[in-house]
This record gives sequence, structure tokens and C-alpha cells, in this order.
Amino acid sequence: MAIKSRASMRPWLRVAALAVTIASSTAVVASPTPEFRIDRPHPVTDPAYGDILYYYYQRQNFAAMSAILVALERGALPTQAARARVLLGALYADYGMPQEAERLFDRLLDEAVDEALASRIWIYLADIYYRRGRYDEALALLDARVQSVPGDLRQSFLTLRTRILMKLGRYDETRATLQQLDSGAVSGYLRYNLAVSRINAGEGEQGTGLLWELVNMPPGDDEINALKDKAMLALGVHYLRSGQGDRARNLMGAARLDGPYSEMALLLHGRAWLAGDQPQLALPSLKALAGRSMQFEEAQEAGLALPFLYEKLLDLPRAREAYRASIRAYTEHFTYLSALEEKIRSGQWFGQLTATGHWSTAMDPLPEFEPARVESFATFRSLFASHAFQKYWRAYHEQQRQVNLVARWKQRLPALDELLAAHIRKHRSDIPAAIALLAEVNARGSEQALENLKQRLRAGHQDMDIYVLATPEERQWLEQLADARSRAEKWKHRLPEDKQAQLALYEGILQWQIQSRVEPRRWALERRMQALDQQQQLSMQLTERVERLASGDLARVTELGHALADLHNDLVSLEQRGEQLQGRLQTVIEGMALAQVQGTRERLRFFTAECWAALGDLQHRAVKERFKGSYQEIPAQEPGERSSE
Amino acid sequence: MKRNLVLLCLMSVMALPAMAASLDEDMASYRKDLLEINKRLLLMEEELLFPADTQVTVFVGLDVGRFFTPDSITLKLNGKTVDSYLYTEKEVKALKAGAIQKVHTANVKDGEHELTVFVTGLGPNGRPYRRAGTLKFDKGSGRLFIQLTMKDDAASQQPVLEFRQWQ
Repeated sequence: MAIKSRASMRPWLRVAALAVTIASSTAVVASPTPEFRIDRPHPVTDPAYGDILYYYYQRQNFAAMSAILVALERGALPTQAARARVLLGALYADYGMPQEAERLFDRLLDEAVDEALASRIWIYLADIYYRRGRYDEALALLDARVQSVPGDLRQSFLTLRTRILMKLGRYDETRATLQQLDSGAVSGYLRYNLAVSRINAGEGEQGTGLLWELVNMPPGDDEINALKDKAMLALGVHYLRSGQGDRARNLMGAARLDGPYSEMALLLHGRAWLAGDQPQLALPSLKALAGRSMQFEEAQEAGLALPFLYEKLLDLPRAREAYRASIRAYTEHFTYLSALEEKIRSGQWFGQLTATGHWSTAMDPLPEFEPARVESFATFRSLFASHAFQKYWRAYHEQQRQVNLVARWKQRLPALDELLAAHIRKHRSDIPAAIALLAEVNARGSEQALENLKQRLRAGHQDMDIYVLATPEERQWLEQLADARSRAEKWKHRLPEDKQAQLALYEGILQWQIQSRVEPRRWALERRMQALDQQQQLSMQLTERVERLASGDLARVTELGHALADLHNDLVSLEQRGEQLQGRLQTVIEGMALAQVQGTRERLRFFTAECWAALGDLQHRAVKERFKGSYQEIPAQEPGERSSE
Repeated sequence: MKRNLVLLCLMSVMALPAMAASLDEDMASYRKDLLEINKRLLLMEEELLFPADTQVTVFVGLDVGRFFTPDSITLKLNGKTVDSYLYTEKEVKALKAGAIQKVHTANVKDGEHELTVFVTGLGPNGRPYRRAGTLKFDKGSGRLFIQLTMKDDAASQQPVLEFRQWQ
């Protein structure tokens, strides 16, 4: 069997997938490049915003969205909340939640965000409009609202504008916008689409010019080579349709025979020679094609075209043999399709297609499509490359990832329950201790004691009461002197005058000594009071925390318990919904495959009928030839000839 | 019988677009609910594991990364290794593009603590490079955030580690 190797098919499928992605979406979410640093024009001021970018730059969009929602809820984005919300909207749109994105953008625009952010929002909104087929509105947004295109969105902006203009049939403007795009696969596919659109719109000259540009690109990687082949085929079809068979022949003669489009190239090459009425030259292409697997549509068509070609070349025995061979091949393929249909209906085909890969955690990138997993890859290669299949294939895996995420949370919930129970136990043991501690603190009345001390100090200073600031020793001396004074007063007439003067002197000296030390002592005392004040404040903070612990915090923990119970229920419901959605996605994908099987079966039925009819004609002609001029001589029919057909 | 099967198949094919449209809406609604629940669970988990009063979070950033490409980072809190992390190419690219990694969250008591960070990677001219930095910090009430930035020092053509903390 001349089917290409698996390795050669995968790049083609990637190319096809890229093409359908480009065809369906412009993927406006900016891709980070090494040159682009978001912290240059818009510095990362909130670490939580930097954390969001950490996931976003790694294309972990689900994690990025979760990080944004958590940061917004916690108020961790004091300066960059609006910017994070714009990013959230773009990620919503990219994640298949366009309505949610639109609502968010509308809210942001109502809040009058700054001009730079508004431009981003308009571009994202235009993308949503484009996806909904509102092309005029989308273009109006881009042209009238976007003041300046942010650097990281420039390529996305131009791609989007190109696609909108193309849809509106404004091809000259499309071409002008395309020229501003960087060269690369995206630009190449857009040029291809523009070329085909122009040809279909009757602008063959402009369309073929663009296709020739693609054909003449230097050989490159798989994507570029496949694009060149695709452009070559499109040119061939156009030349054939427009009666330029010689140009089509030349072009198809140069086509690659080992690429993903080689079957189509062979078929077109054969048709071109047939159209030029040179059937003998179409023979090699059609023979080569008929030798390839019947799974390819082109090979099925060649099964009918090759015997017709022999017929045209008047090689009737070969034509007959070829018709019979084709009928056998169609019948075998019919049987194969019936078996395949059974496999699809039983879910076996889908099981092979989606064999669980190594990925299982919530934030892993989606697994690459592995068509080699199914034997029927060749049968469904056009389906696998279609936008609809790729969309639901991704959705299925995204759904699988979400189911995994829910399962993982369900596994973690018992641990959270236990953690919460530990918090509750701790609170229950801490609360009585906290209440006892508060009672002890209150009983000490340290706050009031400190206040009394302060008042005494102030009063002593106001009244010039040296006693307040005296040391205990000085106080003792003062008391002794006061005692001596009162005794001296009592025995005044008996005490000599010099002793009285001595007592007065001592008293004066002591007062002078204390007085001279009052100010430094007062300052020192005030400093100590301040330190006590600080300690008192700290003590009050601690008391507040203990009070919180003793009262409100248990309520908070209880609230968490209720929330956790709600989450249990929500997760169970989400798990069920997720599995149902996955089942529906599987049904849609299997429905597409069944539709294709049905279509192929109808085509084969038609081809088989044509073969039988042609074979009948041939037999009729042969009989007529044999009995020409003599009805009497009826030869015996070759035994089993008719029955074998 | 066969005719009925074909009809059934054709009907199911014709019903595909309508089925797909409702499926798209249901998927969008499911994703919205999932994001909401995921957010609630993340908040709950953090609240239970790292209560605000004791929480310390360490972020790591890179500015600009011309003189240094990190390979790994090790964090020691009060002399005990609390976390080690090996960077992938994608993560380094993200850091170089200006992202910030939340590398570690811990519970610590109020008071003075010491955080030591060791980073290894490729320094100027692609040579292996190792650097360490220490920060003494006071943990008060409420969350504490510490940001470590590996900065390019153009004068010495070397990376330098810079700490910043806020509540």
C-alpha cells in the first residue's frame, strides 16, 4: 500500500490544523515574545499581576484566569486590576466564553479605563464580533476606536483586520494590510485564502498572482512545503476550470509525489491530460493513483477514471479488467466501511483515537493530536483536518482536563476537611485559655496604673513637689529632716540657735541637691513612661488579637466549614455535568465520522453503479462486434463470464 | 430496516449543527462555573493552610536577565531549607518577559526571621554562576510579601539580588 508513513502525515495534519485555526479564529490573545516586555511600557507594580503573567506567558491560560480571579477577589491588584481584567476578558474569549468576555469588556469600557487599555479592549471586542460574523461592526471598531495598536497586539490586529476585510470582499485593502504582516505561516495562509477568495470572486488574475507568489517561495519546513503544494493545487484547479489545460499539466507535472497533497496532484494531472484529449499521457498518473489505498477519495475516483481511460484508448480487455478490479475494490471498501461503522457506534474507534496520554493534571498543555492511533486515519484525513473536528477534539480534551481538575479537588477535599477540623479543635481549646488570659490582664489593670503614674508625675511637676522626684534615700532624709524640724519647733526654747541654723542649712542643702536633679530625673522618668506606653500599645494589640480569637474567629471558621460543605456539593454536580458534556462531545465527533462514512458509502455506490453500467456497455459493444452482420452464428458464452461480474 | 438506519444517520447528521450550538453554550457555562469553583477552592485552601496572620509569601522576578539565567533556587528560612525549585526553559522565558513567580508560601510567627536565598544558573559568558542573599525581616500581624529580584548590574556586568518587602 502506498500510504505515506505516519511521520510524514503528522506535520501535514499540523499544517491543516493551523490552516483551520487561522480560518476560524484570529487568536487575538497576544503571544509573548522575547522582545516584548510588558514591564517596560506598563511596569509590573503589583506582584500578583506578575504572578498572573507567569502563567499567561507559559500559555497556561486556565491557571492565569484562576490567578486573576483569586487576585481580584483578594484585592491583591491595587494598581493593575483593570489591566488584569482586560487580560481575563481576552482569555475568556480564547477559552470559548465569548459572552462572558463581552460582558466584562462592556463593564470595563463603562468604567472609562485609560486609552491604552481601551485600545486593547476594542481589538478583543472586534475579534469577538468577527467570530460571530458581525464583520462591519468589527471593522468599525478597529478603524474608529483603536487609537494606537499596542506593540504585542500588532500582528494579531493586522491578522484580524485582514480576515475581516477578506470576508467583506474588500480585496485590495486586504492585500495592503497583508503586506504589513510579518512573513510566516500565518501570513502565507492568509495570502492563500485571499487568492482563493479572489479567484472565486472572478478576479482570477489577482488570485493566480498571489498563488504564484506562494508557489515560488523557497522550500522550507513542512508547513511551508505543504503550503506551496496547496497553492500549486489551487492553481492547477483554476487552470483546469478556466480551460488552460496545458498550464495545469505543466504545473501538476512538477508537483511532489510524496507530499500530503500528492493524491490530488496525481488526479489533477490525469484530468489535465484527459481535458487536453491526450488520454495516453494521463495513464501513468491514474495508474499510480489507482495503486494507492482505497481509503483516499482520489484513489476511489481513479478506480473509475482508469478503466474509462483504457476505454478511450480502445484497450477494451484492459478496460473490462480494470472495471472488474474497481468493483472488487469498492466492494471490499464497502465491507471495510461497515466494519468501521460498527467500531464507531460501539465507541471502539473513539477509544483508539483518544487513548489516554501522559497528561492528566489540570495545567498541562493539551496533548497533540495523534492520528496514528487509529487505523482508519487515511479514511478520515480530511475530517481530521477540518475546523469542526479540530474544535471538538480540543474541546473534548479540555473537558477531560476539567474533569481531571474536579477529580483532583475532590481528592483534596478530605484533607481540607481535616485541616478545618484541626482549626476548629484548636479554636475550641484556645478560646477558654484566651478568655482566662483576658480576665487576668483586666484584673491587673496595668493601663490604669500607668495612667495614675503619669498623673502623679504631671502634678508633681506643676506643684514643684520635689518629693515626687526624690530617690527613696532622699525621701528618707527629707522625712528625717521634717521630723527634726517638727521636734525643733516643739523644743525651740531649749535648742541652741546655732543648732537651729545647722538644721536649716542641712534642709536647704538637701532641697538644693534634690532640686538640681529634678529635671534630669523628670526627663528620665518621662522616657520610661514613653517606653511603657509603647509596651502598653503592644499589649493592647495582643489583647485585641486574643479578644478576636476568643470571639469572632470561631464564627469565621464555622463559616469556612459551611463553605466547604457547599463546595463538596458543587464539585459533585460539576463532575456529573463534565462527564455528560464529554459524552456529548464524543457523540458529536462520532457523528461527524459516521456522516463521512455515509458520504463515502454513497459515493462508492455511485462509482460501483457507474462501473457496472460501463461494463455492461462494454459487453454490449463486444456482443455487437461479435455478431456484426451475422445473427445466425451465435457463439457460446464464455462460461461464468457474467456470473463473475 | 437498512433504509431506516440510513434515514436515522442522515437525520443525526442534519441535527449536528443545532446540537453543536447548544453544546458550545453548555461548555461555556460549565467553564464559567468551573472557574468560579476553582477560585473558591483556591481561596479556601490558602485560608486554611496559610492564615493571614502568619502568612509569608516569597516572589521571584528577573530584571532583565542579560547577565543571568537562573537554573534553580533554594530558600532557607531561619537556617532550614524550606523550598527548592528547578526552572524550565518556558519558566525562564516567562521571567525574562517580566513575569513574577510566587515561589514559596509559609507560616511564620510574629517576630524576627532570616530568609536566605541561593540561586544557581548561567552568568556572564554562559559560565555557571551561584549567588546568595539574606534578608532579615520582622513579621508583624497580617500577610507579609517578600520579593526577590535578580537584577542586572550593568557596571559590574553581574547579577545582583535585591529584596523588597511589604504588607
